[in-house]
Amino acid sequence: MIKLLHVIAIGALVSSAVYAYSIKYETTLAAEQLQKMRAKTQRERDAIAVLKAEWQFLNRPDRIQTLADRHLDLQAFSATQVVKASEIPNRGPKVDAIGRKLEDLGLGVPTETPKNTKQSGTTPGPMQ
Amino acid sequence: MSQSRENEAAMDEVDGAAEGAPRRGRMAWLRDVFRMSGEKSEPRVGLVILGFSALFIAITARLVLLATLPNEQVGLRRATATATSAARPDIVDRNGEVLATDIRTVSVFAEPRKILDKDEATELLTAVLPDLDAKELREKLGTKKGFVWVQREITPRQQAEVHRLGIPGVGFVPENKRVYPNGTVAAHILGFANIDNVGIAGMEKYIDSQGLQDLNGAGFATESTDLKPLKLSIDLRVQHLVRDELMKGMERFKAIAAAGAILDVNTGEVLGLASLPDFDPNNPVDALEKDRINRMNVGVYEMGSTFKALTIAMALDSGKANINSSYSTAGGMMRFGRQVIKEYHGTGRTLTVPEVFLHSSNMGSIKMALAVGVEGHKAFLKKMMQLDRMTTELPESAAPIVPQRWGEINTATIAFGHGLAVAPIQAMAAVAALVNGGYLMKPTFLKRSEEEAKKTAIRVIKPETSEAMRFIMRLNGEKGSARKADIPGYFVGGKTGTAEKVINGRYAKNKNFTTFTAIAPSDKPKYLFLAIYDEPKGYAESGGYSTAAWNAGVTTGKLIERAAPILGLTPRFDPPPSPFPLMAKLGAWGSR
Repeated sequence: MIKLLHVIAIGALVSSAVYAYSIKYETTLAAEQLQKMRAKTQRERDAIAVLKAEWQFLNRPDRIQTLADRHLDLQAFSATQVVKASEIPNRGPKVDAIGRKLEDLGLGVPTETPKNTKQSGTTPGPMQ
Repeated sequence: MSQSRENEAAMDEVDGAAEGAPRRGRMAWLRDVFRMSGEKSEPRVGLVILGFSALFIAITARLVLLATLPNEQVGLRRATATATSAARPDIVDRNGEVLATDIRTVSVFAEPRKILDKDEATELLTAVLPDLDAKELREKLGTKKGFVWVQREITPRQQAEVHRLGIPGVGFVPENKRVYPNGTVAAHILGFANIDNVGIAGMEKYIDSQGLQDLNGAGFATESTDLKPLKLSIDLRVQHLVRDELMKGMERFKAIAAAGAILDVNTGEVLGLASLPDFDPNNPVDALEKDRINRMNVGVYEMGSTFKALTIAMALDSGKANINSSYSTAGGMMRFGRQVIKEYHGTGRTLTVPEVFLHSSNMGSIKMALAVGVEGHKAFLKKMMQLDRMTTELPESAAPIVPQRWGEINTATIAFGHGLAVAPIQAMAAVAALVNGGYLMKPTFLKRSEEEAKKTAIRVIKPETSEAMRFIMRLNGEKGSARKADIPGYFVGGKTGTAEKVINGRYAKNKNFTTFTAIAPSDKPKYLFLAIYDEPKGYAESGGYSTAAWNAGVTTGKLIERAAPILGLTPRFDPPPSPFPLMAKLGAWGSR
């Protein structure tokens, strides 16, 4: 009986040691990965900072101005080109151009909608 | 330790010998002690106690050793931490465009104590880094220091080459390098940071004064992502156009220097400020030369006729004059003891207040100032912050040059802008207060809202006086000397100012300092524009004139034309209905 207890105890000890070791190993691995990811994000962040600075460097106003002067045919903005939203005239009444044309052609009479449901798939032409 | 244990053991042995035990050698005695018998337990326990105390003494000694001796690795880290460039927050404009940022670079350092062959290391390093001075490097490596810089901010390629050399005791450390992607555009506002990323001038120095260095010293904030970007009131586009127009103007008018700024009169925010000649903050070798100063903040100048606006506002606000008061300019000159003050644009007539402003009458302004009196004049200018140093976020500032003994003659000359030299930004703050309804606020380079600005603002003149000032400035824009800047659609008002420069204590007739102040739109001003030229020359179209309207005025007009659409000022082509109701009611000159 005591022997069995010993065996169980030793077994428990060994398995707990194995478990503890594996946990520790996994933690180390995870920590290592975390460190790697951190370094990677830092590299990316640094790269973003450099790109941002470069973007601004390429977009600096004096460079844009020189390039625009050289390559574009733009004219200086004049104040008369500004129109307030309220000064834009309202849209005229809605005109049904197609309907008017049909009326002009004498086809203004309402088309006959076919009663037959079998023919519902086709569009009835006015010339029928 | 083992030595002491042996000694102890020897002593035990002596004890054992005293008990009369036969001497048979050490091993036999030990065997005797460990024999399973009761009477031997005492020396056994003694031995165990001895062993454990020796062990603990050893551990304690090691701990003490670790605590007192400096750790090599930790020491190095500390040395690099204090030596490397600290992170700085980004500086962005009011729309979030980057004005200054940090990028990562790598620097090479050496630990002279660890370098075995110093001559060889010097030779190898100078071969890879050609900028290095071999003699200087050899001296540096010869010192007993634990840490010296070999070269700061090297390229990735150089880093790879140095790495390949494989010299023991030479290492790399990542650093932050400050870059200003827009170059010279906002040089005077941004200032610059040195190689250790310590702010030396401008807003960079302001950031440091806000406690950044202490943060770094404590080991925080080594990443710029930890720091919130600093949002300035500057609009990069506006800033650029101010500088661009001043550059063009300086060339056209052959001036030795120029400066200009745009101020939001309701919030006190500076939207753009340039002073030429300037410098490149990325390479600030010439930043500290004398002619590179920020003329808006650090230069003090006699502002000329621009000051007449202050004089008139003072007279109107004190009640000693109203908009319909009139002043005789007959004779065209006034005498103060031995000094004679002449009219520049003499009319010889009796002028009303708006006419005094339009004709820029010296005599009219003098009479108004004298009506208020010397003490009243002084008190008013003090209230308008013209007599004390004005400090903004920029660390550079200059105290105005105030006459030491302020007599009647001083009041007379200061009334038309001579005899008192102030920083242009100071004058701008005052003019902004004259037109925005009477609230004086310190100009700021940080973004803020109108509510925040109103909290710190002081009311200095009545709203009625402010309306009168807007009225006469608009009149001057329409009919007077400020016509050059009257860009249609923006209802511009303005004032020219031409002061003769003082050279060797005398006013030089042919050397002018010209200023132009403009507001837009005059009925409800939003922005104040200022352009300044130092010693502009006449040119063909100006008929040889080098007075303010022909140079600073022209530039201010361009500033308004280009900046207004960016700033969102809507042009109006029909004049606003009754822009100055009070002036119309009083029937002021020019209101009909």
